[in-house]
Amino acid sequence: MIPRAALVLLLTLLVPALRAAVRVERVLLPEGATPGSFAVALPGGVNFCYDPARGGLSYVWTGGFLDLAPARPGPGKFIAAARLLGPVVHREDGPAPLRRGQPETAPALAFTGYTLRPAAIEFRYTLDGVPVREEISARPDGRGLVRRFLPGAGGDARWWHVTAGRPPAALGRDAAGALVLEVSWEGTP
Amino acid sequence: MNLRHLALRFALALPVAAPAGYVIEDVAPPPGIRPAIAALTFTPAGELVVATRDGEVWLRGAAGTWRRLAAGLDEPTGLIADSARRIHVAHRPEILRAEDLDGDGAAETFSVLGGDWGLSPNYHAFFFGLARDTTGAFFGAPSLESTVASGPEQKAAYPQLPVRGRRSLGDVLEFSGHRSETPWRGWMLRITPDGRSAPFAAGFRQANGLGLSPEGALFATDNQGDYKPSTGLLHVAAGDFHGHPSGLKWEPGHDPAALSLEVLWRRLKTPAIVFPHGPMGQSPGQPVWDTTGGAFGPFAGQVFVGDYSRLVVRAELEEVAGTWQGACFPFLGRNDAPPHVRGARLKSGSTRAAFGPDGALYLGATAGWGAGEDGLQRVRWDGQAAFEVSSWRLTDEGFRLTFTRPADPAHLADPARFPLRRFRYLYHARYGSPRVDETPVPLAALRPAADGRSVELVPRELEPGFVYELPLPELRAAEGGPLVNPLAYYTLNRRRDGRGATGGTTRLAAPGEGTRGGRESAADLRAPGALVAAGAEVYRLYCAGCHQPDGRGIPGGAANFVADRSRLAQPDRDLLAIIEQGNEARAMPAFGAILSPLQRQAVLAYLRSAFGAPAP
Repeated sequence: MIPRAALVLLLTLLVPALRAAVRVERVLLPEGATPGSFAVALPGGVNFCYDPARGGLSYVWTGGFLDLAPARPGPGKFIAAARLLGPVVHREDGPAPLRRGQPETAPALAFTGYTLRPAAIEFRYTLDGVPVREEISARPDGRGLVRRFLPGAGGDARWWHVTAGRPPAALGRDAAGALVLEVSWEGTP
Repeated sequence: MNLRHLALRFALALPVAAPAGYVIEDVAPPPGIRPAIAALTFTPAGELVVATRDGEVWLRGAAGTWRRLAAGLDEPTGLIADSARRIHVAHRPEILRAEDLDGDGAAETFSVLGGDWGLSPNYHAFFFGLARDTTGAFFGAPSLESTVASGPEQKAAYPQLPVRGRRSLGDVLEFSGHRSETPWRGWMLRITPDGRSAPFAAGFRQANGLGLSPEGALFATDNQGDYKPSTGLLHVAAGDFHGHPSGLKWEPGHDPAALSLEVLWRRLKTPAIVFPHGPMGQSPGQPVWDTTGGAFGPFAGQVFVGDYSRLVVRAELEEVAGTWQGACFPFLGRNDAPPHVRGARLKSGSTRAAFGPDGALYLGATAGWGAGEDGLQRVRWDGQAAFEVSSWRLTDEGFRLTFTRPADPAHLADPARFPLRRFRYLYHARYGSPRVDETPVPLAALRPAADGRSVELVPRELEPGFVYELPLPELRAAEGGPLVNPLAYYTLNRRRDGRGATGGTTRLAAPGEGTRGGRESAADLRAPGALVAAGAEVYRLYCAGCHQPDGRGIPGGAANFVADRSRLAQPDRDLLAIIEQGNEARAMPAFGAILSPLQRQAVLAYLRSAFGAPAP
């Protein structure tokens, strides 16, 4: 007979890892998230908050996904932020982090939609009118995110990822021509 | 007020009977979820689509089985389905076009339309929708935020919480319980098919229901509240101002110094049809037009509006000299109506509606927001027309009533059976309004039709800018029997000769008017009975709409002080706290922002006096 506490612990560890599909929740989120942000759970137990108003990742947490009870109170009407069911391991901030040419200049961003893929989510937006697709998936080891940006224009211009408090990161391209940025939180909350 | 009228007013406060001829049936909701239905529509192929308050969208196929199309949305309130694979959803952040492009039965591609309005963490920051005109443009309404918080800590922390867009916590004019904190809250927005939104009309508080008439005119419901004397069905045209000023702060060139209550009143467009608060509900939802061509009974072309308070209102619109106006009637009563009455099983919280391909009216209910019930029902006509007023329209000299069945000819010739009255409301910053300038309207003539199917009422005077009330409890059908729903109202915004009234069905409140019990000082109320008398007035103005004049409340909603003695068996300080802070679970507003401390004491004194409940 497995003790109940051990069973709960086992499920807590296993369920995120066994997630088969991407799950999205648009509810009030904690940790200073802008209303309207996405909470996304990826297969492999990686969860993140994405702010469509600024077109960027806000934070990443691991483990369980969300306790939705405060945000969806049932018969009541007052709402509060959902609770994260795991520790935050990575944070980003700042407007329109994907930038072309000059990293100092934030382009005008307009969020246009998203697509759920088997193991990833794709966000779509325009930067100064240029359409961009941003696909986010979990790294196979579950300790990072792979972000692939597919601008609809841009030629050979350099592209940057700019996050408040860090130096601009120049983005390279993968074999398919997508701009790639890996986020890892090994040893860094 | 004579005894007969008093008795009639008392009778009108009792549960509204449901009309014979209609059957209410529960519809099995999607399995395994809380069926809090927050939006409802049909695809062109006739498949039922619902959205839940918890953010899921479900479609019921031809075989009656449900499948989930989408999940994780933020409190959807409106749906438009182009097909089973392409559905538009209004939710708090934006309008989403959800598409199942890969054909696996679930939407995977979501395109954003609009989404450029402000969004705060306020529970009241809804985005209500959804209507679409012939150009493909959508209409949606970001509601005002509430100044009420769930507790002192939340209230203190609230201003520091992040919002989407700019933020302004200031008031445009007088303080009220709701305000526009972020851009375009309190507005109706028009969102073009390519996703750009633009302000269309202002002055809304909580437009919890939008719809386009068959002629293409846009209508919305709005709740009573600050600057909102009563609920109603509003005709919304570009540039309109519908009463609540807070959202005007976002207008280009907004000059707060140029605003006054009188300036606003002169700009005000009041409802096409007022739904008098209380008898005609208190929180109307989505208006839907009966386009079933008679499959739903004798009210083809009329509008049906589910109200949160266990009522479906029937409304009949007509355009007179370029202005929309018309009549409203109770249609289905509350579920505490006598058990023999058909329709008594109507769920409270039914604010979403759609006519199905079977000619039935489908109603979606949610327990969220207040004290409703979750679930899905449909109302079917059984082919039997009960005796009802099917139509109340304006004529050159007065009004014409038409009946579903012939009325007793002798009754149609008896003016005493048509006790027409009229009243209007005050326009002011306070919550709701009492009826003012209320007066009987004597009839100069009654002109019954030979077949007993209609009668023209010719009043001695026909003043626009009033709501006309017609209780008909003593009118009988030719074959005997009373009207099923013996109460009706007509909102006369304009006469057929074009004459209207500034401020619509409101009068500009004089300073302090409509707030009796608020002007007296504590010294004024020391005289025996003065405090209770002031409290009685406060109760009539602010409490009786929900708790009812006799204190019997609304089952599942407003407390019944008569049947449940425990309600008032609490210390004064606890009851005053409830009055001040409201009761979230029962959708009771926080009157701390509405009534003075003295008014709150007065109304408590009245409660204890009227309902025999001394302080423990």
